[in-house]
Amino acid sequence: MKPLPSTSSKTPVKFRMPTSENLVPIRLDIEVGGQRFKDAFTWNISDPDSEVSVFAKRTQKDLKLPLAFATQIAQSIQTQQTEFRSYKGQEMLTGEKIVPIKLDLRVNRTLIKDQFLWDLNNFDSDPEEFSKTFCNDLGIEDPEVGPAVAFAIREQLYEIAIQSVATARESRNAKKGRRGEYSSISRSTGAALDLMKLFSNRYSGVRKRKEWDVFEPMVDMLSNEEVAALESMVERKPR
Amino acid sequence: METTTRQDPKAESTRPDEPEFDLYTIPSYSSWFRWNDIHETERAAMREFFDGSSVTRSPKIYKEYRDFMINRYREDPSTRLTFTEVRKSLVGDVSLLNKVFQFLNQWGLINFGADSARIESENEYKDEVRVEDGPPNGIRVVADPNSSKPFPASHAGAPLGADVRRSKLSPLASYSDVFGELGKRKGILCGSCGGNCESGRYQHDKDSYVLCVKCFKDGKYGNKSVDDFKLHGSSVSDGKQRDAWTEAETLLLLESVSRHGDDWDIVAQTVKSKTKLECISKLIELPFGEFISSYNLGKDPASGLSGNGDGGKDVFPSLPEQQDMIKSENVMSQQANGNEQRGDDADKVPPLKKQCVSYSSGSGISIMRQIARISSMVGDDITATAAKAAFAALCDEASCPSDSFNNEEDFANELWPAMDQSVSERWLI
Repeated sequence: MKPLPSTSSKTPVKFRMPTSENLVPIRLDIEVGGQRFKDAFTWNISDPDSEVSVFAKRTQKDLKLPLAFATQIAQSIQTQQTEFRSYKGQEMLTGEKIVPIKLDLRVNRTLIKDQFLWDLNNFDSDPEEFSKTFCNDLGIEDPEVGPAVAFAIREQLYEIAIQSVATARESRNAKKGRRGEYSSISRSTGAALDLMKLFSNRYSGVRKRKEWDVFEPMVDMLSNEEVAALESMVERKPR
Repeated sequence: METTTRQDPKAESTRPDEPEFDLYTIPSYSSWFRWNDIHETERAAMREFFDGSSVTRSPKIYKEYRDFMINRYREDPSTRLTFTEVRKSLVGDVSLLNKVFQFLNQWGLINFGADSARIESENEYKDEVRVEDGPPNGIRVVADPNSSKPFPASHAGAPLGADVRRSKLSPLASYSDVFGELGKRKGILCGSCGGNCESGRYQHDKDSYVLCVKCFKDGKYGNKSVDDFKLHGSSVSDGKQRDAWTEAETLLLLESVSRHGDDWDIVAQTVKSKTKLECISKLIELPFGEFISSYNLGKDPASGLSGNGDGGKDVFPSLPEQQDMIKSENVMSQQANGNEQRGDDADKVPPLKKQCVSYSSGSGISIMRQIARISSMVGDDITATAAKAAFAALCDEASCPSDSFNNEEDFANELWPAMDQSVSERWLI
């Protein structure tokens, strides 16, 4: 939690989610006595009113889970919150970072595969709004899809934000702050694209046609049997 | 920025380098748009592209995004272009792309006149207009524009100035905007559950309140008594026959109204296939319908007014379902339309509550003066609404008036001195 001095040429930014609301993505995967509870949501860490223990108790009650879950849920949330807070005060190297975000998720019966670009420097970005447009444009009726998409985006952004803290630290530790360092780091993290390569099509904002379907969302509705099959497959995988 | 859709489109040719011009419609408040240039409006709205803050955002790239989106839309102007369709083809941060998309959308450079523009405004109706239970005279708002219940809409007895503020119609909602949906009969909907009443319905005797069979059985009578409901025919086609007005019927209606004025029993008898209520509603819908009935009685202004008033009071309680905002809108647009007609001299009387204002329309007085006079009698926002509705109606009928209104500044200042500055600014955009 030590604040590190800035030595890079670009003004580094204090760690935060690159979205307009600094929400933490929280994932729960708790197993108690044969029962498994999975969930994913966002948490507003700066909201003084949201009490973890209250939330955990309520969740356990609403879902009629055994009592043991309440404490476990609260613990898990608090751990993740602490981790998030640990990055606070540290600097991230955002620089010029437009990163690819990939969606590959299943929500109930809807299967979504998608890919698009996200600007880490755009602190006005809003995954929830993107997700709302997404669902509207594609006519998705299941109300659980929207939040799931937003969550997936946030999770990836969180990952990338953490990585950028790591790269900031690395570059500071490296004696030489040459461009080569940066690009080698970015290649190894694989998170950032070389900006010029982005505009590969003669530096045009329009993408090459053959790449259009890579960046096109694919939404599929599964039948109940397919859903059951998928779920049993997940269960069998060792966790 | 005024972003509500205006109904005065100005066609613009868009590809000067091609020998053949395709005509696309964009709103006149977007006439600054040029293919070969970036306008100050764009620069101001999207500074990120123009401040050199990133190599990924430049005027050139902005123009590419913009041109691509507009061209994509114009490949099929009747279909609404979604953001998700375009973003796959463009390289860049999706939030930024969405900003460009929304900008073009709001300025009508894309999706102007596309299908689902209507859906959005319908949803607005649904949001803003709530069914209100409670008031003893059962003012029941028809929230669903798809209902085939004839909009009792406004009536001669509408209180002036009623809730135009509450109305969430865009200021330039024209007559066809408001009533266009009536043409699309989608079947009779139940007043209680909103479902389709295909297999028969219970019609309230005194008004056009309808219950489907299920709700009637469940006892959901609203605030009406069960005795007032009558079972009506059960086939959809039967419903259609009842509701559509043929030319012959309309003619009969007009004739008998001009002869018998407010006597709806006789009118309904003459127009055999329509109930009293349907006759009244139809008459109101006609652009000058009210005028005809009041004209007839207008020969004696005093009695005309009271005749109107009585007629108003008679019919008023039996039309509990009125959509306040539609009502006042219609009154306004009818008054505005009525301005163009020259009736007999009727004395101008200060507006009485729940009565139609008759105004002097002698041949010596220009329309403009009449408008000025009327506008000084009523509130500012009503005047503005009326003016806009009239303007829209005019422009719908003939394409030339938009030219004559080019010199907007003088127009507004001269004719509506009473108009609030902010209102006139909105008008001018």
